Amino acid sequence: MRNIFVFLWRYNFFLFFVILEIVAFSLIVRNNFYQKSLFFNSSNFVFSNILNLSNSVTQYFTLKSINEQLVKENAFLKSLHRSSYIISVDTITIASDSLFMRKFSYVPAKIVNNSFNRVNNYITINAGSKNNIKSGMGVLSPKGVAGIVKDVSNNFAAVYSVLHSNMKISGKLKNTSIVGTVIWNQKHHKYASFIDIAKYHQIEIGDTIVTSGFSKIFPEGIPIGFVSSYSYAQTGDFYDIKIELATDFSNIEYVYVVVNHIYQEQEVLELMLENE
Amino acid sequence: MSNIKLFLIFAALILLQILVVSNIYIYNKISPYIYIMFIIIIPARMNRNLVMFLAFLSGLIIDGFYNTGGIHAASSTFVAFLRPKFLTILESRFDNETIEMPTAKYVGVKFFIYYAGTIVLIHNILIYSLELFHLKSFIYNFWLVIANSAISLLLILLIDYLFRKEK
Repeated sequence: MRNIFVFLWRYNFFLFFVILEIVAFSLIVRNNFYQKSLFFNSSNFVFSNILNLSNSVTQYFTLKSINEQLVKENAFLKSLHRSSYIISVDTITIASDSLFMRKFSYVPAKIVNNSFNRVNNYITINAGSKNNIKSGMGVLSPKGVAGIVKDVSNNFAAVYSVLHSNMKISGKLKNTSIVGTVIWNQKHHKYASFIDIAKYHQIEIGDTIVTSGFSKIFPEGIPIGFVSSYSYAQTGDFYDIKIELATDFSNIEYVYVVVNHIYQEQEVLELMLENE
Repeated sequence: MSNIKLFLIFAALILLQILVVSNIYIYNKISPYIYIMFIIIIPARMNRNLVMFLAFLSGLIIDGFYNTGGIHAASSTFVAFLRPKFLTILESRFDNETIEMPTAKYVGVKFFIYYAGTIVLIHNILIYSLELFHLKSFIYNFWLVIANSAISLLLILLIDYLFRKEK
């Protein structure tokens, strides 16, 4: 027994090192599982409040360009409003009381922390479970897709940015049914890859890639990016498409969290399929 | 070097890392890590278990802000584990005299660059290899690690120089 204590004392430095490393690696492993709440993340009370404080100073530097973005978005939304349309055919009328059901609604949120130069990037936003935000919801920027919510605290949420190696977004070429997947290639914050497009499809530079609407997370038709270049190997069956992301991650300040009101219904149905 | 002063340096470096250095974007890919400077300049006679615990703690706080789980904690703990060996090598250059504080002021800029550079390089290699488990784009990341370490070291030298004047 005494020898054990002598041994432990002698190698206390090494043993302490091993213990600390085991703790650190268990944290790494836990963090890699999707939607697992961790105490140490940027939605944590202390961390998020420090980031919020820091952001309240730095937000002034980007005020001008953010205002321009918001004005542009307002103009676009105004053009969709009823008052912008006139009735051109007066023989058909649509009674729109119970015909339409709301599927998506949006919660505005301000970004308190954002990174785009690391291997895996996250966004911290100042809306949390108080605003009915849950893990797994989609996040949109004024220009396009921004990410998916990871962890939620009372007032804040940590969001997987599109610039994260775990992110796979189902996308399609606009106005077609050619569906593929958008992944980030970890090289540049402006570019990503659009994969799984067979070689026999027609593709042109500048084509818009939008969300496919297959997932429960994003509404259909939200821009993800634009084809900037493409190539294919002689032997392969698929295109190698490089896209320019619609969202400029170096310059976003406000985002919208997508709340899907019939998420549960689709989720239950799809779980039944998986269990078969 | 009183404990209060050490605590202030610890807090200041972490705040500097989170609030200032994390906003540095050079060529869109460089993100320097300067919080490890605390482990570099902490007095040599400090209890090594304590130093390692402080390294773990600082890594954990950075992990919280960067959402990296435990990558920074693991890397800085490893660096703190190797530190006594580097210090022994450093002391052998000075006829085995105990170095009070391994800063540029006490050991000279040249040896400080060797000593701090080694620690920063190992720290950066660990962070990048833990973040990218695969070796798919090894060459690309190799230069990224070198560049990132160089900029981190440069910032550490700059901070060291700025604080040296006050003493």
